[in-house]
Amino acid sequence: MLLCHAGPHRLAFRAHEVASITSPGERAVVSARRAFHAADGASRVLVSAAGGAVGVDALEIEAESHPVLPAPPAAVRASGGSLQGFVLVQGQLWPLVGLVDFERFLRGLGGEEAA
Amino acid sequence: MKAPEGLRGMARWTALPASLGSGVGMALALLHAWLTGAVEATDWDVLLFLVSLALVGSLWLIHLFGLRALRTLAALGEGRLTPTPEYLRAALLQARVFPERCFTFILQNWGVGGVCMALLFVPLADKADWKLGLRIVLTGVSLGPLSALLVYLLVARRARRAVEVIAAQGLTPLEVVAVAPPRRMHIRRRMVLFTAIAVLCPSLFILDASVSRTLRGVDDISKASTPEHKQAAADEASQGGGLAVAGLVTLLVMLTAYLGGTVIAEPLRSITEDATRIAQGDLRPPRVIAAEDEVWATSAAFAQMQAQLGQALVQLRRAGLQISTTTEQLLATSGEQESGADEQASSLNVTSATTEELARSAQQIAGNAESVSAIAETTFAAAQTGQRGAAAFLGAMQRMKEDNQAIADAVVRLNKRVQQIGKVVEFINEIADKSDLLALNAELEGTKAGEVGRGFSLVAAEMRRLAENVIRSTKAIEQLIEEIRDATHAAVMATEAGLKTTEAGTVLAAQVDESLSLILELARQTSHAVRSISLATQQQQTGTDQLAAAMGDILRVTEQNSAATKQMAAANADLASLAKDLKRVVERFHVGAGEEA
Repeated sequence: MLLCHAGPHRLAFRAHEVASITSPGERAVVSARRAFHAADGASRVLVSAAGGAVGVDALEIEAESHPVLPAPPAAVRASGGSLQGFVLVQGQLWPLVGLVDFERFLRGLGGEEAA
Repeated sequence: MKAPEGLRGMARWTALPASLGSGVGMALALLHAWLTGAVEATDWDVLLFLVSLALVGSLWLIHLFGLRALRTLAALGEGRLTPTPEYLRAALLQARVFPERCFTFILQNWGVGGVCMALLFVPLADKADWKLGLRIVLTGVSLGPLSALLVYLLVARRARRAVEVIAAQGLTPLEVVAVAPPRRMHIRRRMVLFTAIAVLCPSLFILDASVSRTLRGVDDISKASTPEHKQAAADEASQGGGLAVAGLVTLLVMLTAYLGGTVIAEPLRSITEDATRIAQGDLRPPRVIAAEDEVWATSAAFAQMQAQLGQALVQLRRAGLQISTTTEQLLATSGEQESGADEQASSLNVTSATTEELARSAQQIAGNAESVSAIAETTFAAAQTGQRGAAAFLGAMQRMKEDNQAIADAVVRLNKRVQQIGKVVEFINEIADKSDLLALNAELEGTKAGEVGRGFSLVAAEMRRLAENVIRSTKAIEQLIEEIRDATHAAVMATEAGLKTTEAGTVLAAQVDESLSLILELARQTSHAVRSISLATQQQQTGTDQLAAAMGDILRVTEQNSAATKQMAAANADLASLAKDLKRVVERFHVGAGEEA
């Protein structure tokens, strides 16, 4: 599991959804800060197997497995269906989102903002 | 006949006694001829005719002579000439010489007339011989001088009056004297001549009468035939009727003597009157006192003396007045001078004290000038030291400028090196970042591999930590490089500021050096000037000492001057008293208006 930070906010991704980790500038990236209505910015880019990429500010890899707590449907709908639940790691709740869905959700937020 | 007041008729009036004198002489001659019986009764017609002819001719000639001798006076009297000073002087000269000329003319007239009468009468008379002719000539010779003398005396008085009238027309007494200067001094000769005429003429007359009467008596007695006739002739001869004419002649001589005395006494009396008046203090303008010979000289000298005395008195009065005024002014001035001299002496005392004080001050100034000279020398040496220090400071500033420039160059080089180090660190940082990225991917793959990949994940995680440490270190190095860059930049700025400051300091040092050079030159000039001042002050001290001595001398002279002024004031007081005495003496004389002018 990848524990990421987007600004002051926390996010968690499943490790098998991430194909590789790259640096920004190698491809087109959407920033995870956009989900929290913050300015874009990233220091690391999570690349999915489908080619989607989401930029985060920092990340660490959690090798231990943790149970996933269900997420409320309203929160799932608010996240565009990308929120898969919450995990309790290091005494804190981390929202677990799917990388591809979250990347799509972020791009959708970018279109809304552009509109 | 009254004398005319002006020139009109003056010539005729002056010449009139000439005719009168001649007429008197003729009458006496006829009376003498009649009483002596020298002329027979038959010859009287001829005699009267000839005498009348001679009288008419004589009067005519005298008239012509008078007109000729007094022609200018006659012309002035008739208005044919303007009474200018020139004509007046000519008329005056003619009037002056007229009596003498008249005397000579009358004398000639009688001489020539007597001879002519004798020459004419003897041939024309029936009973006349040449002896009678000789008696006629003798009568003329004896009566001629007497008549001439009488005419002279009568004419002289009138001529004097004419001179006074002519002078009154515009000639001053001094001008009259200048026109007729008293050169001839013939009064002795005149007196001799007068005496001779007065003695000889009557003697001749009496001699002729006596001789003729004696001869006639002798003839009558000798012709008498009887004693009675002889007694009658003797009685007739002893009657002395012929001597009556001699008595008349003597009377005429007495009259002439009286006139002569009057002629001499008149001017002397006038002079005496004037002199008495002057002696009494009444000094009128001089008047013309006409006279002849020595008397005229006396009159002229008296007139000149009067004029001179009048002028002298006027001048003396003015001088006395001026002396009085001047003396009063002198007295006042002397008083002022005396007080001024006292004030001057007082001022000189103060000045002398001041001069002595000045001498002491000059001495003190000389001492101060010496001190100032020494200080100026010290200042000059200090200025020299300061100039050397300024030159050394300028060299140090130059070296500092070069050192600063070297520091600036070194800092620039250091900055370049730091930039190179930054690039290296950046490169290391990039490698570390890529290493971190690689470690992340490796850990991700190990995690994906599950339990199998756990060890791989741990290694990857460790590598990742190393990479992150490297990144943090490079970050720290970048921070340090940045700080070094800022520091070098600040060093560059400081060095540039230091360079500018050094340049400003160099400029200031150059200015200081220049100023010190100027100060050195001024100090040299000041030292020279102070030395000159010191020398001048010493000379001034000497001069002030001499001045003090001179002031002492002046003070003594002023005191002597003050004493002399007091003596002069006393002398002025005496002079004022003398001036008053002089004024009093002069005021005794009453000077006429003409002299006052």
